[in-house]
Parts: sequence; C-alpha cells; structure tokens
Amino acid sequence: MANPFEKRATEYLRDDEAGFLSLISPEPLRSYFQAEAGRGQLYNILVRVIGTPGSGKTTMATLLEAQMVETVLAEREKEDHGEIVKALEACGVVEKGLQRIAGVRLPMEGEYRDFWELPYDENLKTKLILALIQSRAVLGLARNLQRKRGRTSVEFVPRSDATAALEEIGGADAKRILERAREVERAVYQVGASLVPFTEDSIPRAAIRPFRPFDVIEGVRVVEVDGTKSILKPLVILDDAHTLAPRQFALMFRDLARREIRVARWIMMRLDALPPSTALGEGDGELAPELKPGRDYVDIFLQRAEDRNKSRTVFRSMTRSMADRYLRRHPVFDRRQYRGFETLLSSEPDNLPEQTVARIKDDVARTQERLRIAPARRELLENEIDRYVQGAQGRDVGPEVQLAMLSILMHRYAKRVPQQSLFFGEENPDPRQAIVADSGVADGGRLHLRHSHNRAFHYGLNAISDASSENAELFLHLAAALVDRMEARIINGDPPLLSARHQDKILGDRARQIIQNWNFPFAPNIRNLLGAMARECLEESLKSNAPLDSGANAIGIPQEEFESIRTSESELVQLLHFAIAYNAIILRPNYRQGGQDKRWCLFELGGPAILANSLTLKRGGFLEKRAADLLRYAWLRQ
Amino acid sequence: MRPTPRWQRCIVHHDREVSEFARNYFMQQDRTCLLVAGAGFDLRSSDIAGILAEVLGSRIRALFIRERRPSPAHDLLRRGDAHAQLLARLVPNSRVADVEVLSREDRAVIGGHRAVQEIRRDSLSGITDVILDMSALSVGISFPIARYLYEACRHTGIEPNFHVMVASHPRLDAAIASIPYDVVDPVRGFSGRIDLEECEQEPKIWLPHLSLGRGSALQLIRDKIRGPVDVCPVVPLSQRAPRTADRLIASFESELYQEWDVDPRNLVYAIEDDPLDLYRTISSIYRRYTGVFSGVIDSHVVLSPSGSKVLAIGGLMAALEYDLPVRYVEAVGYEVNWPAAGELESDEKRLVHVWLHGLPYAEMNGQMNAVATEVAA
Repeated sequence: MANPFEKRATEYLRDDEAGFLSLISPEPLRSYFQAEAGRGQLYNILVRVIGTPGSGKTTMATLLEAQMVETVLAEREKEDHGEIVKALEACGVVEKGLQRIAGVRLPMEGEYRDFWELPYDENLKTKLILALIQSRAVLGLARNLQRKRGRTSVEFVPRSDATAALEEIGGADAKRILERAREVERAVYQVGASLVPFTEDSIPRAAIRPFRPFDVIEGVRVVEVDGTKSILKPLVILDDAHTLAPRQFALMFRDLARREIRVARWIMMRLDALPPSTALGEGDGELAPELKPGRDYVDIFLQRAEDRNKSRTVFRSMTRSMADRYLRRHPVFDRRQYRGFETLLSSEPDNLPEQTVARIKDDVARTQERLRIAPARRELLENEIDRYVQGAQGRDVGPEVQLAMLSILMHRYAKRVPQQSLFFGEENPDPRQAIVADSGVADGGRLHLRHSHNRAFHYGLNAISDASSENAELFLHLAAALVDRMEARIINGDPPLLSARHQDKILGDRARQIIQNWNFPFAPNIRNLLGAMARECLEESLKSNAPLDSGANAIGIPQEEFESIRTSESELVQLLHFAIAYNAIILRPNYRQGGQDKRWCLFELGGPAILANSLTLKRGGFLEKRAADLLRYAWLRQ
Repeated sequence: MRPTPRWQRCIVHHDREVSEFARNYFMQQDRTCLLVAGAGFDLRSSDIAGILAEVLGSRIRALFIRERRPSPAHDLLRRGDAHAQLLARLVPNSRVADVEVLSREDRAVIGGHRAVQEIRRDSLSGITDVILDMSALSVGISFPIARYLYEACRHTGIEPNFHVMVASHPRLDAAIASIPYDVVDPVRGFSGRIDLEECEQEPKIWLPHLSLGRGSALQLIRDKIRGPVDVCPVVPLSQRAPRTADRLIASFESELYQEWDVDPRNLVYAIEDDPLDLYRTISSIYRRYTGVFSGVIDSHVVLSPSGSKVLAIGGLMAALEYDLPVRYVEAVGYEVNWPAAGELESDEKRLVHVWLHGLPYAEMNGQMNAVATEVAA
C-alpha cells in the first residue's frame, strides 16, 4: 500500500476534491491571512505570498479556488469542513456563510518564463504575458463557476466607467468575453511556444490587440440553480511566480500593483526567488522605487512569524491534525481503527539496562573523585536535582538522566570555585554562583546520554513537528518514515506503537536521506556548511559542563557583519539564500543575547540537520563566529 | 492525417550497416555534410564524428554543442574539454558552441532556445546532408535541434537530406545518473496544446519512457499533466539483457500500480535497439485514440523520453509527425559511475542511423503518386 504521507495534499486532487479537503488543515489561512483580512488589504491591493518549497502555498491557493469553496459550503456539515469554513470566514472568503470571493489559481509554469527569451523589447514581452495571464484568469474563473451551475449562469460585471475597455474584451456578454479570451490565449501561447520566434510584425494580431479584463471586470454575477443571484469578487492567484525572470517579474508586479485594477490578485512565490538582499533582510527595493510595501502591495511570509514560540505552537497543532487526517487515508491503519498518529508514538524513552545505569553511576563517582568534590557537596547537588525532579512531573527524569545531570552540575561546580580551593583550600568551598538544576541541565543530560549511550533523544509528535521547520511537506516526509515502519509492524502482527529508540533512529536516517537528496543550487556546499556547523555545535553541546544547557544548534555572526555581506553578490550570499529558501538553515537576524546590546545574526540548522546529528531542537544556543567561518565551512577552505 | 504513418517505410541502419552506409553513401564526392553533435563528457561524443570524418574528409563541417550546466564536477569538465578538442581535430571545419542549459540569472531552463539560436547561425546552403548525432545531447537540446533541422530541410526541398544517428549503449546510459531539476518543462518546439486552459479537461495519454533512477522526475511530470490522464509506460525490451524490462517494472512498482494506476495491458513494450518499433506503436496509439474521440472532443498523446537514446529517436519521429507535446525534467547535473562505465565492453555499443527526410522519400512518394494516379485512371 502506498504511504499517503509520501504525497502532498494537492496530489490527492487528481482523485477527488473530497480527498483533498479531508487532508488539508486550514490553520495557515488563519495564521497568515486573518490579520491582513482584518486590515481590508487582501482583496484590494496586490498581495505577495512568500514561502519555502513545501510550505503549503499551492494547497492554500487550491483551497481558495471558487469550486473548492463551493464544495466546502455545500457540504459544511461534514466532519472536516466546519474548521475550513471558519478559516475561510476568518480571511474573508466567506461572509455569514455565503461565498464572497471567487478564486482561480493559475500555475505559472515555465511557459511564461519562455517569453523572456523572445527577441522583443521588454514592454512587448510583458504585454504578452499579461494578456496570457488575464485570458487564462477569465477562462479559469468561468470554468470554476460554471462547473456546477451551467454555462449561462455566469456574467461578468464591468466597471461603469470602463466603456471603451469593455469593447476591447468583447463587450458585456460573458460568451463573447470568453470567446475573446480563448482567442487571445491561443494566439499568445503560439507566440511563446514557437521554435523560431515570430518577427515582431508577424505576431498574430489577436495576441497584441489590447485585452485587459482586469481593468474592466470588478465582479462576477452568478445565478444559482434555485435562481438566486449573487456578486462575487474575483481573486486571481498566480502560483509559482518565481519561475519568471527577475526583471520580468518586476515588470509584471508593477503592472499588477496598479490601483485601477479591481480584481483581487495574489502572487505566490518561493523565498529563493526574492533577491538575496530581500530574502535575507526586509523590503524589496528592486521591484520599483514607486511601489511602497503596505500601500501598493502587501508581503505575507509563510514562515517569518514575529513570535516564534507562538508559531511553533500553531504549527504543532496543525501537524497533529494533519497527521491524523493522513493516517485516515491509509487503509492498513483505517481498517484497524488506528486514527490518532500521536498515540502510535511512544512518548517515554526506553529505560537503559541496569548494567548501563550502574556504569554511568561509576563514571559519576570517578568524576567526583577527579574533580575532588566533597561527599557533602555531592549530596547538596543531588538534593538540588531532587528538587527539580519533584517539580518536573511527567517529564523524562529517570535515574540515568539524574546521573547525567549530576555529572553536569559537578563540572559546573568545579568551574565555579577558585582552583586553589579544590586542591589546597577548604574541603567543600561554596561556588561563586549558585548551581541550579533546571530543565536546561536535564536536556543537556539527555543529549549527553544520546551520544554516550545511544539513549533516544528525538521522539514524539512535537519533536517531528519542531524538526519540520514549520514546513508541512518536510513534516510529511519525516512522518512517512515512521508510518512505513508502523505499517510493517502491523503486517507482521505486532502493535504499531514505535518505541522512542526506534523513532529516534528512523528520524535520524530519514533526515540524512533528505539531506543527501538535496539537489538545489549549491547543495554540495550547503551540505559541507551544515556538516561543519553540526560538528562544532555538537562539540560545544557535549562539553562536560553543558555550558549551553541543551546545547547549540546555530552559529551567529555579528549583525553588522551580516549587514555588510547581505547586499553583496558574493557566492556566500547566494549560498545562504538557497540554504534559507530550502529550509536547510533558518535565519534569525537581530538576536540579542540575554538583554545585551550586541546584536547577532543567527543561522540555525534546519530540522533535518538537527535530527541527523542528534542536536537539540531548542532554540537559542549558538556559537559566536564570523562570516569568514561560513565561507570556510561551505568550501572546505582552511 | 495521412492514411499511413509518414515513416511506415523508413530507411534505418544498425551497427555495421551504419559504417557501410556511411562509406558507400558519403563517399560520393557530391555529398557535403553538416554534422551537429554534442561535445560533452559522454564517452560516445566522438564515435559518429569519427566515422563521418574518415569518409568525408574536407566535405564535412560541424557544429559541436557543449551543454553547460552550473557547477559541473571537475572530471566531467575535464572529459568534456578533451572530447571537444578531439572533435575539433576530427573535423577541422567546425565550431564548438557553448549552450547554457540553465539561465545563469535565474536558473530557468533555456537550453532549447539557446541551441536553436546557435543552429540558426549556420546556413544550410550548399549542404546536401544534415546529420544530427544525438549520442551526447540531452533531450532538451536534441529535440528542438531535430525539429528545427527537419523543418528547415523540408522547407528547402528534397535536399538537404536529414539523418539522425546515435551511438547507443544502454549500460553506459545506466552508469550516467542525471540529477533532475524540480520543474517540468515542455521541450522547446514540442509544447503542443495541452497547457491551454480550454484543453484542461480533454483526455490525455501519457507515454513516459521508463528508465532506472528517473522515477522522481517522471512523477513530477505526471503531477503536472492536468485533467484526465491514461498512463501507458514505455518499457524497453532488451535482447542482451532480457530481464531489464522486469527489473524496470519492479523498480517502478509503486508509481505504476499505485501512483499512476496503470492497467498492465497499457504497458508499451518497445525493442530497445529499434526506433521504428516505438515510432510505429506510438503512431498506432495516436491514430486509434484520436479516431475514437474524433468529432467529440480533442485528445492528446504526451511523450516523456528518458533513458535510451534509440527509443528517444522513436519518440522524436512520432512527435515530429503528429506534433505531439513532449514534457521533461531538465538535468541540473550528472554523476557518472566511472568504474562501471570503464568496464563496459565496446562491442555492446550499438550504432543506429535513421534517414528522416530527403531523396529516398521523394522517390518513394513519386512512385506512390504514380501508382495512385494509375489506380485512379
């Protein structure tokens, strides 16, 4: 049986709409679009939606298509549809239970980019792709709306002041508008697809005659089967607009940002299509000086939440619901009534064998002896750990974790008393700073145990979710490996529950496979960079006193140094650009450590690199480096 | 549509026949040739050029295309340089053209455009025979060139003749792993109409050529073909390694029977060394399919060649005749298992020559026209 987790939600569309709707989680609509909907921007000015590959752009665009919204509203009593309707209401597509927006998604495949290769001046090339976009938008919109209502049920509502332009698009009659749109699409497509370019004077007239329905149409009047009429606002979503050449994109963007256009328009694109200086910073000065973000267009970043803890929590809840929905698509699980993905993942690490715990105990005793720590001090430290354990109900604080914590605290203690005190001074000197046992120390202990005794470290749904860098596709890839193993267990007659040790191993293997399969630009150098970063983070994390508590998973360079390289054209900037765009690295600029003035730009390892190297998923632990170190890591230079 | 496929009767040579044909035909002093070939890392880059240069001497000129991809491995670059130099020595009246497969600016696939631009710089005036050697050219480059040259030859008249040649080596193909890009593109000149909005709901038959290691690229293509699609995978039948087809089917099991929902009766078996076999099969599928839907709705046959170069010629012939859309995923780079490639036996190499346009067809058409006139009388 094919593992449903290996497919993206949009791939289920091939089969049926219901399949698609049963899988998607509408949470991102609320998280990313509700605020802008509240400001009244979403359907009035140009919106640019930017995300990494797999962040769910196409899924969202597909959900907003008119026919999909109709299906949801027609079957709103279905189990999964209630939440979707709420999300659609939150972002203004549905109001008081009625559809208000009619969306159409246009995939911007390479054929649009092909126009940029034609030997015409850039105005003509832009005019051609705009004509293609507008003709397809009109045809797509009609196809969407007529599917359930029939051909005569759709009329385009023109602006009252656009009489001349109305004639250009074929008049007020929907049938004539559609005929004209078909004619334009065929003619422009022929120009773009020709093996030998047309000379400018031989371009078919239909392709270059003015055709600007976006300037004319402001609504679509639909007649329902029961005769009721309503006017919907058209929304055109240009998906994968990153396929355009940068200059081509800028010209199209400038045109679509015009205020005269009454059709709502969104452009969805990948982060790597932004100029590096924009992707690594803020504001896109390269589009056009006259365009102002907020006034002429709005940028919505699908993974640049201001409150990162909040966005992690939101993503966890989304993945929980997504995983359950996907599991229901798997007949092997569905037949046996396994409906909750999380319940199939053990949340308790396997206990280490008694002999191993005894060996750890001996190691701690030797550490105590080596560091000349008095028995009374050890007792104090053990009491401190007991205090923490009492308060940490339900957390993983078994005997081996307590011993690992004790070892860390002993090393911290040894560092916090004057050297001579240990050798020549008093028996049990007090440290300069209190030695405290807390969750950071416990995490550090668990990390040490992972690397010294192979004790499970990454397990449970939250770990998979956190390791997915808020990317739905990455989450599905990681979860798919676990589902495969669960399925094998079921087929062998075993319960599907996976132990923490198994989860840890499977996730590590899958993460290494994901990294190995990267084939985007600079992938080999990015692998080098991650490898070196992970090695150094691991070295720091495994220091006996765990100076960064749960450890490091990032490196930081001074913010001012980052600012100086950000706008350059260097290979390093390009590399970082792709590493960030493909979630290999997460950028966190302007990070202030512990309230200090100095600002750092952090490069956090992405989830796969963290899983592959068994590092912590907790954020904040970083190594202080310089930009030159990044270069050295990526190109293996000395 | 013609009553029979255009190349129902076609001149094809295999292996030793190719050398013999070259000696006999190109030995004629009135033959002047333009050779278009790839100058890449591929070990087969110079095989055909060597044969032709030996026979034609100064009567051949050539355009060698060097496909440039970002960040190539050093050994591939070194071998490409060596092959380019060798080819330039074999055919002194030649030029090597660098063709950027991916745009430096934004990594868009532009190889087809650039290749056609290059080829248009060469005039066909005074040329009696144009030969396209597809051995070391990728689909994204060789197909647009083939279409351009074929149309240019046909437009000029009976001559220049147009030939396609290939030095095929299936095990070498298997040793060369391409790293696929993450976008699906129409091959330049083979867009068809399937991307038109009005065609979205029209029925389509997709014929992906199965080859090892191309599963993810073919899956990507499948995902991009919109509307109702029947999948008829092309499976090569090999005389030398009869289990190849079984192995391929096993390796594509999940795609075939779960993702693409292929009816086992839809598998298209094609003789690995015979381009005409696949061409005739596609012709027959196309003719039957369009016949069924004729007058009701338009239908489309979509090709996705990958793997064997010989089978790619079969697909090319069908695409040229019926104007079929071809979809592919460009390679961003290649990885070669050199130890495996080095161990290959040279006698496993197969040469194929297909004569697509020119004198024989004029004569054939002339005879047929005469017969037709006689019958009519």
